[in-house]
Amino acid sequence: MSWWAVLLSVFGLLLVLFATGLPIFACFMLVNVIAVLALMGVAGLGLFVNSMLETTSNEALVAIPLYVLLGELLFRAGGVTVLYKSLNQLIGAMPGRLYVIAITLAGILGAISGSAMASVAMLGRFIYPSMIERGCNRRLTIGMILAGATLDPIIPPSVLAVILATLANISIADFLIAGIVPGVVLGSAFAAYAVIRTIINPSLDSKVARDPGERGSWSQTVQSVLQILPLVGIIFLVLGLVMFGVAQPTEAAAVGIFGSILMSVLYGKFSAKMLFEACFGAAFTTATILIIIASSKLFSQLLAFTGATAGLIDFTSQLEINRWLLFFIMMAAVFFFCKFMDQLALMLIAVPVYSPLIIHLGFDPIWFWMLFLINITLGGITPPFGYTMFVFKSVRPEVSMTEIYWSAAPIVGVALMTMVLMSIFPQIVTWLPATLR
Amino acid sequence: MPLWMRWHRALTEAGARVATVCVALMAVAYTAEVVARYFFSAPLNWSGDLSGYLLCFSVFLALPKVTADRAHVAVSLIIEVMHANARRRYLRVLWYITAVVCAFVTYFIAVEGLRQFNEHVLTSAANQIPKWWISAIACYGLASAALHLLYAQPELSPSEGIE
Repeated sequence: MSWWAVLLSVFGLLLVLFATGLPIFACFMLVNVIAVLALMGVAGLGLFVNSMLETTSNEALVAIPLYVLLGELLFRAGGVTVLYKSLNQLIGAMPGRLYVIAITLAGILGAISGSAMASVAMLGRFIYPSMIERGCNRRLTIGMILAGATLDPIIPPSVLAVILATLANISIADFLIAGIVPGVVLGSAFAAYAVIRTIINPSLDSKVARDPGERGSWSQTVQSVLQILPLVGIIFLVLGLVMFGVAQPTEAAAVGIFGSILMSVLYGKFSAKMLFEACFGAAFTTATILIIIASSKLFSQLLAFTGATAGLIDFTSQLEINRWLLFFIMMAAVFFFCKFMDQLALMLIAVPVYSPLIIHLGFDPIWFWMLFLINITLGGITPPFGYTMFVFKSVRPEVSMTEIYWSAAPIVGVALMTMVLMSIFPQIVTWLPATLR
Repeated sequence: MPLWMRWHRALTEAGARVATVCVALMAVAYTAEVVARYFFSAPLNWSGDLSGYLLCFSVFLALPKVTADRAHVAVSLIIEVMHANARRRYLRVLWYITAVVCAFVTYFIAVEGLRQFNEHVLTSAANQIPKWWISAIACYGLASAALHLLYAQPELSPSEGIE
C-alpha cells in the first residue's frame, strides 16, 4: 500500500468516526486496533496496550494535572472578583475603557484558567451584564469577550500549551515562555481595535461615566495594587521559575499550587471542600484528556511504521513550491478543521504529520507550534461552528447566534492580521525563549 | 434501580474520590521534590516515579466517573441537529459501540496483565512496581466505563452525551 493510500485511509476513517459523534478516545482506539490487526495481527495488540499504559504513567505528563489543578485553585480562590474591582480602579479614563478592562481581565483570567471556554463562561456571566448596563455596544462587548477567550490558551501557564509541547516533543518551558509576547501582542491588538472603533464612533462607548467609587485616589490605587498582588505574584512566580530555569515546569506548577492555597487562605476562601473540589476537577479533566492522548499514542508510531510519514516528507521535498505556500496550506487546513473538531483531537492528528514536515521545511518548531496554537484557538470563535461561541450562547441565551457571529467576525480578522505579523516577524514568538535559553 | 447498578455507581464515586487523592498526592510529591532539591540540596529519587504511577491510577479510577457523567469529548454536530427521539436512539448506538471498543481493549489489557503477572514483569522506572498493578487498574477503569455505557439512558437535553 502506498504512503498516500495509508494516509488517506487512516485519516479518512478517523474523520468519519469523529463525524459520527463517537467519543474521540473511542475513535482513536478503534482506528489503532484495526490498523494493528491489519498490519501485525493479534500479536501486535500488546504494542497498543503497552503504548496506552506507558502514556498514562509517563512522568512528563504529570504537568497536565498539576497545571489543571493550579488553574482550578486560582479560579476558586476568589481572585476574579478582586481582579475586576482592582482593574476598574487602575485603568483610568480613556476611550473604550470598559472594553480594555474586559480584555485585560480576560488576559489575566487566561493565565489563571488556561481554558477559553471557562473564561467565556465566566466573562459572559460576570462582565457582559455590567458592560451592557453601562451602555456598551452589544456586538463590541461580545467581540471583546470572545477575543479575550482566544488569549487564554496562549498566555502561560496554559494546559493546552503543555499538552501541545509534550505531543510535539519540544521544550515545555520554552513553549510556555514563547506564549508571553504573542499573548500581549494579540491582547493589545484587540484592545486597540476597540479603542479605535470607539474613537471613530463614540456612540459605541459606555454611556455611563466612571462611578465615583471607581475613580481612584492614591490610597485606593495602592490598595488595588496590593489586593491583586498575591494573584499576579503567583502567576509571575510560576513563570519566573520556568523562565529563569530555576525549576522544571512541573515543579513550578507544584510551587504555584502551594502558593494558590496560601492565597485562598488570604482571601478567606480556603476550606477543605474547596480544596477537594479543585482536586476533583483536576482529576476529572485529566482523565478526560489523558484517555484521549493514551488511545492515540500508537497512531503516530503506526504512521511512521507504515512509511506514510517518510513518504509524505519525500513527496514535499520533491515539490517545487515555496515553503511559505506549504506553510499557508498547513495553517489553512488547521483553520478549516478546527471549526468542526475539538482542539485536542486536531492536535493529535496534526502533530504526527506536521512535526517531521516542519523540520524538513526548516521552520522553527517553537514558532510554528505557537502559530498552530493561536490558529486552533481562533477556530473556537470562528463562525459558524466555533465551540467558544456556543459556550457564550449557553450563558447568554437572550443573544442570538447571528449577533454572536457578527461580533466574532472582526475579531477573527484582527487575530488573522496579528498571525500574519507573527509570520513575517517570527521574533515576536522566538525572541523571549531564545533570550532566556 | 437494581442493587448491582447501585453498587457500581457507588464504586465509581469511590474510585473518583481516590483519583482526587492521587492528584493531591502528585502535587505533594512535586512540592516535596522542590523543597528537598532547592532547600536541602537533596533531590528525591522517588517523586517522579511515584507521580507517574499516581497519574495512571488517577486516570483509570476517574474514567468511569467521566463516562457516567457523559463528559467524554466528541464532535457533536450531527447529534445536535437530530430530533429528540432520533438523538436518543442514535446515542444508544454510539454508546454501545464505545462500550464494545472499551470491552475489547479491556480484554487485551487483561491478557497482557496476566502475562506480566506470570512472568513477574516490573515497570522500567528507577523505583519499580509490578507492571500488572497498572494493567489491573486500567482493566477496572475501562471495564467499568463500558458497563456505564451499556446501561445508561440517554436523556433528551440537547447537550446530552456531548461536550
